Parts: sequence; C-alpha cells; structure tokens
Amino acid sequence: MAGETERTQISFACESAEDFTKRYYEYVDKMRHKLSKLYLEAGRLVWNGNVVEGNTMIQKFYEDLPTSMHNVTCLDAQPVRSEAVGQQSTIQVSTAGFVTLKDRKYPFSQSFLVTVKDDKWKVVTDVFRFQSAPA
Amino acid sequence: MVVVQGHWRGNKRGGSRGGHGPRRPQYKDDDTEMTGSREKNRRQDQYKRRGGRPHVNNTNNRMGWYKAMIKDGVNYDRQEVLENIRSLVHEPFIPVLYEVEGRSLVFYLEDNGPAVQAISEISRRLTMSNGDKLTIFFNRSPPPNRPLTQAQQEKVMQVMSAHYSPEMKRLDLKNFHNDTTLVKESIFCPLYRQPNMQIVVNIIMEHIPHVEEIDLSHNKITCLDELERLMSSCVNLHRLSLKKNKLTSPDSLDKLSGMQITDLTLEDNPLCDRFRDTESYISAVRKRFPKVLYLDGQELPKPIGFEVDEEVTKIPKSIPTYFVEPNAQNLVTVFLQEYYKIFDATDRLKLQEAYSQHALLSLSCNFPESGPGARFTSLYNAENRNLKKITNNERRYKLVVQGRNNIGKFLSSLPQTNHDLMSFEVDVPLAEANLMVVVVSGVYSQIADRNPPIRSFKRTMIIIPEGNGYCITNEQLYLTNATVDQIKKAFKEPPAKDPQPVAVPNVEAQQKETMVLKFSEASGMLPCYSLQCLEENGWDFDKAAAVFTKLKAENKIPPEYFPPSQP
Repeated sequence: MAGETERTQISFACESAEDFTKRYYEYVDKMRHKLSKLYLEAGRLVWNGNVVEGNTMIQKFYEDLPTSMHNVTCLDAQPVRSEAVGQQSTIQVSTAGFVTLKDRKYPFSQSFLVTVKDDKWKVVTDVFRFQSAPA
Repeated sequence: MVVVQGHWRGNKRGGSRGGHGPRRPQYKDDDTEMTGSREKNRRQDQYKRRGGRPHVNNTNNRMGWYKAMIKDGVNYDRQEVLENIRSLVHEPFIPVLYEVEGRSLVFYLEDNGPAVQAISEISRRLTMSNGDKLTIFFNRSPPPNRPLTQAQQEKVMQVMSAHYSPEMKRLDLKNFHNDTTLVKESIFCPLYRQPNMQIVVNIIMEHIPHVEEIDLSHNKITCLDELERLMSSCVNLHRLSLKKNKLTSPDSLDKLSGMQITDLTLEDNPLCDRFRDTESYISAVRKRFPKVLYLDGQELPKPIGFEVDEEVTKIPKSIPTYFVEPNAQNLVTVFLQEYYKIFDATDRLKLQEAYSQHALLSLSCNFPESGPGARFTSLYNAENRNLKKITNNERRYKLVVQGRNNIGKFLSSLPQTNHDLMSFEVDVPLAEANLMVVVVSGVYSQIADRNPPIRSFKRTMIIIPEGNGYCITNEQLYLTNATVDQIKKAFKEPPAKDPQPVAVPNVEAQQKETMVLKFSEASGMLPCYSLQCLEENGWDFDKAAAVFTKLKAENKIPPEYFPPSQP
C-alpha cells in the first residue's frame, strides 16, 4: 500500500470516528428511538457480557436502560486492514470515559467495528464494558 | 497538697503550669454541656424521645479533659500505680495515654468529673509498697493530640477488624477512642480528628467495602467530610448511626447527600435542635437521604414517588465473558495466555510474530496530569493517540505504529508489566472463518521499584487466519488507572462460587490452588499474599519459601499479610 493512501485512510478513519461517536452518544443519551439506524440489521451489541442481536433488539435494549449521560474522554480509530476486510471500508473505534446511569457514574470503555453499507456507516459489533463490574 | 481545679479560670495554685490563661479556652469538644439549661426553652418542641437530658450535678460538672500528673511517678511501676489508684477509687475511669512525662506519670480523663474528684481526694494518701505516698494533681487540658504512628495505625486496623461482624456486615465504632485494646496500648484515636477519620475510612474502603452498617455513635464528631469518600466505594452501606456526636448544623449532612442510607440515627446531635418541628427535621433529612425509612429508630411514612422510576432502573448484571462462537473460547484463551506470558517476560520482540506484516497498532490512555495517579505514566503519555487531544493529522498518522517490526519494537519500549489473568474479561462478538474480533480487559501491575501502580487495560484486536495459525491486523490498546474496586480485587484468588473470566486450563489452576493453600498454611500468610509470593517466584515452592523466610527474618513482611490476631 502506498504511503499516501495510508495517510488518507488513517485520517479518513479518524474523521469518520469523530462524526460517528458524536452521533452515537447523542442518540444513546437523547434519541434512543433512532438508535437502530446506526446498526447493521444483523448488528451485535455485547453490553457487559450480555449479548443483544439485531438492530431493533439493540434499540429496545437501550430503551429499557435507565437514562444515560456519556462523557467520552478518550477516542481512538484505525482503518481495518484490507487483509481482514478486503475492499469493504471498515473502521475500528475505541472510546472510553464516564457514563452516568440513573444517579451513578461508571468509568466505561467501548469498542466498535463500523462498516459502510449503502453509503452509510453502520455498526457491525459494539462491545461495551464498565471498567469494573459493579458488586 | 490536693489541688482540684473546678474551673480553668480560677487556677492560681502551684503545680498547674499553663493554667494561668485569662479565659477558658474553647475546646471544640467540651463546650456544649455548659449551655444545657439555658437552651431548655428552645428545646421544648424537639423531636421525640430526646429532651430528657440528665441534670448535671454541680459538683460533678467537670466535663471536658483533665490531665492527671502523678509526681515522681517515674520511680514506680506504672501498672502498680494504676492498680493502687483503682483499689482506692470506686468511680470507673479510663486513663487515656497513661505514660511517663519528665519525672511524672501522666494520663488524661475525659468527661469524668466524679473520677477527677475521687482521684484527687486520694492524693498523698496513696501509699506505694515502699511506703512512699504519691501526689496526684489534676489540671484542665485540651484534648490530647497525637498523630498515629504506622504501627499504631496497624493496631487500629486490628481493633476495627475485631469490631466488624462479617455475618452482619456491621462495623461498630461506637466511642472508638475508649476501646479497651486501644487504651491498653496507649493509642488515642478520636474520630473527631480528621486525620484519624481519614485512616479509618481508608481501612474501610480497602478492607470492608461491602459493609452494610456502621455505628459511629458517641465520637464527638463535628464534621463528615471524610465519610463522603465511603459513598462511591461502599455502595451497600445502608445503616449509619451518628448518634451522640457534635454535628451542629443540618448543612453538615450535605457531604453525605445522596448516600443510599435507609436507616439513619442522628439523635443527640446539636443539629437536631435546629428544627421547629418533627416534620421539618424529617424533611431536611429526606432531602439529603431520599432512601431513609427509619430515622432515629422510628419508621417514617413512606415517601411518595412514581412507579416508572422503579421500572426503568434495572441495569443488567455483568457477565465476565462472551463468546459468539463457543469453539472460539479455547483458541482465544490459549492465545491470550501465550500472548501475555511473553508480554510480561523481558523480551517482547517475539510478539511481533503475532501480527500481520502490515498490522496497525495504536495506544490511547487516560491518566491524570499530576498527583499520585500520574506516577510512571510519561512513557504512555508520549504515545497517547487520544483523538480528543491529538487533533493534528500528521501526529495522528505518526502515532499509529505500522508493520510487524515496528510493533515489536513499540511493545518492547513500553514499561514492564505483570498482568492478572484472573481479572480478564473477554468478549468475542465476531468469530467468522476469516475474521475475529477480540476485546479483552483487565488489570496489570506496572513494574516499579516502589508501589507498583495497578492499571486497567483494554485491548481490541482484529484477528485473521494466516498460514496454519492466526495473526492480528489491527489492535487498539487503551490504558487508565485501575479503580479502587479493581485494585482491591487485583491479584487475589477468585471467590469460590463466582465463575471467573478466562478459563485458565484447569489442571494448572488446581495445582496452583493447592500450592497456595499449602504455602499459606506453612507461612501463616493470607492466601492472597501467598499467591503473590508464589507467583513472583515462578511457582517454585521452595524458592518462594526461602524468600518468605528471609523477608520474615528481616521483619519486612507487613502485618496485614497475616490474618488479624483476635485481641
């Protein structure tokens, strides 16, 4: 892969991740009814080890959670290598920060695999964890 | 000569150095009783069951602190002197900080006028075995103030341990500084002094975070600032007694506002007298402790809420691992074990073989910029690719480590580590023939000469098949300081019941467990520290035993590594 393509890909991944996470946490905190649109139809969420399959179930899962407020303090993104995904544009996104659920604040981290489908970014897998499981 | 000073002000006699001040000093903890009768009218309407304050007899009205000086006491056996006094004085008393001062023996008495009187009366009548008569003086005194030494703090921890009921999850710190063991050891640890409360709160947070009930009554506490820290770490704390302390203002409760207390006792604090009526008292308490059901032992009317509130508050319980494909479990577990074995060893260059030729790796981290949490973080911070902070495109590009060889070098440049495999939580949300996503998180200790910091990490890897095996094409590593909870659980044995993350191969785990028990039995150390010792010596029992024996002989093993002795 040529150096220039490399640079473009990396900077594209970063910008896309910034746009994506901004929208994602806005939806989770304020517009959960729209959340299914951000996932592939067969997307998969693993929330503290609990698996939720399919975009409509994921939206329902979030709608049942207490109200949340995410404060993302750390973000990192990379383009996924073509050895792994061929020509399918895909980015790997990691976030970390604090989430207030009901009245409690938890440090959390989250890892997304986000791919392009019909010119839209969609989450393939989403792994969320509190930094330490509540007792 | 018998000298009994009723008041500091009138103190003009010999043997009472320091007593010539023009005014009686206002000691925080001895002024409330003096105002008793004048306050009476304001108290007519107070919350039930209080009000009947016992009438203080004038001759015994010597609250606050007195210091006794036994002249030339240094010539006699301390215990004999004390026993002699006790044999003549029938008033019960607790001699605080009984010790030698110059040529005298001294001790302090707290709020015990009758004993001051009675002991004063035997001055010069007290005959020692050699026929000498002892002279005892009393003077008013500020409360003694002694910072606790390290050894004393450890004793305090043992006493706390003896006052903790694991069945009830109840910690009894009532009238703590008069605990008989502490008194006997000449340790004065009043909880109304902030440094002492800080020590006690640290011990609670570290050793009994699951505590459900704490009794802090009769401690003359004036300030709750230190207790605030319990809120985040002791989430099961539901019952709290602050009875008979010196909390003067309802605002002093603000520090604990939001605590999930259901049973609260505040009676016999000056703040209780600040309310017009019972309703305003209850309402002021509820405002800060919305969950309170019992106040001062009385059941409160149920608060009115909304049904929806309860319905949507459920947070699913955490599960330590998820594998979309059960077959992936073994593969991933073995891979992670191998990976971290090399990662924690000295030569990480070998790890590059786990990566594809053009693999990408980036590190992001969240560390405080200063303070103890920032120790040993500079190596990480230099590589931190947190896009929230790094906005320059060129920097963003350069901070991605590209290619197998560079990744090997990069990993080798990171600080030495020791990962706690038992802390690992592993999620594999995708495991297809040609693509697998692995997210692993847990804790490790960063090797350092002193107080190695415990860190929390998370690695997200994209793995593809290559040749006969697998390799990583993309990896993101996130690091931050471990939470209190993580530190507490780090490098400990798993609890017997709960299923643990990552199935470390069982045979080995069982062997290790047996070894830990054997080692614990032989050394007398707690199993978690036995485990640590074995781990640090490569599970070589004899080597670990030799190291232990050497350190033990050099007195280098902290007492908390052993089960607390029951006083």
